[in-house]
Amino acid sequence: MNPDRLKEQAEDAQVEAALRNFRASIHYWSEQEIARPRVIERTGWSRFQTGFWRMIANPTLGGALAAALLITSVGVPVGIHHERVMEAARQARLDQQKRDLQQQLAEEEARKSLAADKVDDGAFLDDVDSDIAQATPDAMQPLASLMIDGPSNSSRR
Amino acid sequence: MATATTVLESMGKPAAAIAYSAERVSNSAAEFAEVAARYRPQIFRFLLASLRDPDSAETLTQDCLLKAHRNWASFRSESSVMTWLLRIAINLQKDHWRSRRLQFWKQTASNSVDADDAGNWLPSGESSPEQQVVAKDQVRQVWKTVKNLSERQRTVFMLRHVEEMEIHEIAQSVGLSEGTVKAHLSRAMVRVRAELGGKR
Repeated sequence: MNPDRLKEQAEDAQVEAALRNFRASIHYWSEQEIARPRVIERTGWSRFQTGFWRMIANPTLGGALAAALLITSVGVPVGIHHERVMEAARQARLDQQKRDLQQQLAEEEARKSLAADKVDDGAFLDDVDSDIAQATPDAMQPLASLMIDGPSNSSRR
Repeated sequence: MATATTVLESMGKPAAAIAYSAERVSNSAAEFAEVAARYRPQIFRFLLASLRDPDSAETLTQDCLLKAHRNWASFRSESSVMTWLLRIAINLQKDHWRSRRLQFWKQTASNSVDADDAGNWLPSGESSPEQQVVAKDQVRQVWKTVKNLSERQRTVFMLRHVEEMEIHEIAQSVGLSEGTVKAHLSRAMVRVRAELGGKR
């Protein structure tokens, strides 16, 4: 037989054997792996999650937790609303007191101003009178007395 | 069931049609359960050989069966069930590689087995220790070559030499023509031969 042909046949046989072993190896590996139970590694977070859900699943603890959640979810908004209402009422009271005080102050100011005006007018008239009295010379006194008598005297004339 | 029937009857569907439909769904579910149990090892094996990662292979096998279950009603038996399932597995494997490439900078835990270690899996059989050593060496060499093949060549090689599929079945699974499959297979075999021959 041709030596090249023999060499080729030997090579083919070797390749075939290698592929057969390769196939057997993968089949064996796969069978081992598929039969192996899978272990899931749990991290700290996943342990916490599992523990949490387990706790929730407990009827007593779960019920208590649900009640606490309900109370918190209803109570907190109600409390906040009540606080806001109280704050608004307190603010309204303060505003009213402030307005009353301002009004009182304004009235007081007006009274004081009126009184001061009256005093000033009187003093001014006194000053004018005294000034006029000083300014009129003695020689004009008869005329001044005529002016005091007024138009009734003149109409009589 | 009676309630559902009443509801559907009120919607204008005859009771006989509903009963037939329910029976069909039930038959279909039982049928799929049988298919899944039968082909799961083969899908797992193909994915394990392609990925060399038992955990990823397990996950993708589950994904493959889930996807197949969702589309079971639309399976028209144009190809064999195994070809159809492998086609799904191949697409999932492609997505897996793509996502691995995209996430290469992330520190993802990978249980991928080295090609050298993969060669250690051999059934003890009745062969002598010397034959075992030779066989392990051959397997390691094939793994080394397979590792360096392109994704498509590797898939075709695995389907042909691990799953022992026919060329037309491989073509259907991979979605290529038979000629292209033969070309990929031929290139892969040249490299395997070179690796084995060079070691001699």
